[in-house]
Amino acid sequence: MTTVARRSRLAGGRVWLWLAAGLAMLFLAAPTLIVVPLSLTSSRFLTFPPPGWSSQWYARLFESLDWTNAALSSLQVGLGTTVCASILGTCAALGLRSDFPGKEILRAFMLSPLLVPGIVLAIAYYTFFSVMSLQGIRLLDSSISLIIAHTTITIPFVVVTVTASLANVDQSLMRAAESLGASPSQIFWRVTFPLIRSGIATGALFTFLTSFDELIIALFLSGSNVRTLPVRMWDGIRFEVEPTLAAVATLLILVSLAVLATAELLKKNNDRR
Amino acid sequence: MTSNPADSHVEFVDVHKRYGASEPVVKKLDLAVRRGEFLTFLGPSGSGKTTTLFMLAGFESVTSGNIFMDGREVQDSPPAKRNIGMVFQNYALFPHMSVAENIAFPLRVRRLPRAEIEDKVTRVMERVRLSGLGERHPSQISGGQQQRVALARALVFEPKLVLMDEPLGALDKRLRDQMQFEIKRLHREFGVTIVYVTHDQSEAMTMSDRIVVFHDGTIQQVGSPQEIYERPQTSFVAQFVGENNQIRGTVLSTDGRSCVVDIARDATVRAQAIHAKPGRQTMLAIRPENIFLRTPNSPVTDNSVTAIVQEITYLGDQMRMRALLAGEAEITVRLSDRAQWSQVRPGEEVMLGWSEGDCAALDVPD
Repeated sequence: MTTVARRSRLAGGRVWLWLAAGLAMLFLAAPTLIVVPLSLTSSRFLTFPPPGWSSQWYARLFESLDWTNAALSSLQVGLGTTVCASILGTCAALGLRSDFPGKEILRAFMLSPLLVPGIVLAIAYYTFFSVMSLQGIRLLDSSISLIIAHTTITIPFVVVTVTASLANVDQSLMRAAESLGASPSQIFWRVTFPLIRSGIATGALFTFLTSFDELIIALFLSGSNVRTLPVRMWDGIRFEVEPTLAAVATLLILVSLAVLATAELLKKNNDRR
Repeated sequence: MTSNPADSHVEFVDVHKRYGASEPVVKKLDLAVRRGEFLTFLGPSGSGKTTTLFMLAGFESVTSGNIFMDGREVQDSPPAKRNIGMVFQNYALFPHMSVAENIAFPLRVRRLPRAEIEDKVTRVMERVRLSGLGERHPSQISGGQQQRVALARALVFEPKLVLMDEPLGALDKRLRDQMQFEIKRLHREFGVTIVYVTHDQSEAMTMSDRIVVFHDGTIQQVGSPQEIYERPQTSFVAQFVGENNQIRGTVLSTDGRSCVVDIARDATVRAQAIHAKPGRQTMLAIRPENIFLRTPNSPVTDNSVTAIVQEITYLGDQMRMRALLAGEAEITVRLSDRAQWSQVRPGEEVMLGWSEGDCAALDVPD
């Protein structure tokens, strides 16, 4: 078959490929994206398709103390988790560089929260903090307990991304820095850190996203003092089904997209170097 | 434990190195490095040369023994405190810093004032011929230039001792020759002591004031390139540096510095008794260029043995002849005298001669 004929045959085949891929993506994304038009409905109910368009539900959101408090809680817990998980995860990744007996077991242990079902962790933490409050340490229904729990489940992300970054940092670079007179802290801040910065950032972004969106553990550890956004939405779904929920959902989608976009930009920036 | 400073910059005293309970990688190392010299550690992989260099740098601990620098014990001090410049095999340039920043690194780490740093960096860049490349990143310059950056970085903070771990291995031949010349020039200009590790014996011969030949964790011999080449003290050294013929034999008698060795039925030769005891086996070492084709007119040599010519190879500037010495030992002979080239043919019996001083009776390798 001639090249021209083969190319046009491939081009024809391409169309079907794109069509199939497009349908698959639509199938996966549609349930999520449906909240966007729902949030702009003029009706009081979540009916699809919307009878009219209105931005009232977004307005209600920003006026409601309830919702803004929830958003602030999520933000507080999210940032707190990000800081803790980033620092601890980076240290763990650095520690797992050297060879020592039991290293692989320790690595598996650090990554294990990824394997444990959320509900199991939620019950475990609830029990743990309940026991603590019996001893007088009241941490239930506080940001701290949530930050602790979220940090545990997000450390694996940071360990994985920083470990990947560290693979690019040759051990001889650190030896060279040492031979040139650098102290361990100078070696870390001037040589290692700049080279793993993007790994830490990517891990931090996914940590934030995970904590911001997390529902199960938050449900168990929340109370009247701390109610994160997902928990508030959960209550909303059960007690007051309004398009306000769709508005919050849309905002959460936007936050996720922003985080993913930032992560992609960081990756592109790093690859260019 | 005291050392003998005198002229030695670095001293290794009874140094041993082993990992865990396994075989030692460095055994009973005693060595003095002279101030300002270019000393090369030469040996095959696994011989202990790199481990010894790393012990001097501080990246490997010393299992037992001492290392002195300027009379002070250093084997327990961390690498960052030893003030030694080091050039690594893969250069280890910091990829996220520019050339100028790489070179400035040791000065910034010592918190020198910025103006002084800029001045020193500019000057060292001129001396290694890198001026103008300061803003580039390591990935944007050639291998030879990267090598110079590594050198500049190791020299900018004016250390008295510079260590180099096979720095030219990654370069092609032409660049390697060029960089050998550059490194020697910098050695003279900066007046530092250099300890250089390589497995390439021609590189060692070209660059060194003295060579330390390593084998299996021990030092076989220390000497100038000429001493190593012309007066090898062990079979390993004779074999590792330059071309060498090995002829097994039994020592018949010794007489001061010489000995008589029986190499085959009715063939005895005289050699330098380096490792010869009457009645014991020995391995003779004689280089191809020191063996001559004897003709009725040629002057008398100490040794004279018959050989059957097996193969002749023409190489333009020399003729190489493989022959069976006394019917038993295979040897290679370099014939430089053109007049003789037409005189030999495969299958012929010839007379080969050499002087006693060029032939050493050495240890028998296992």
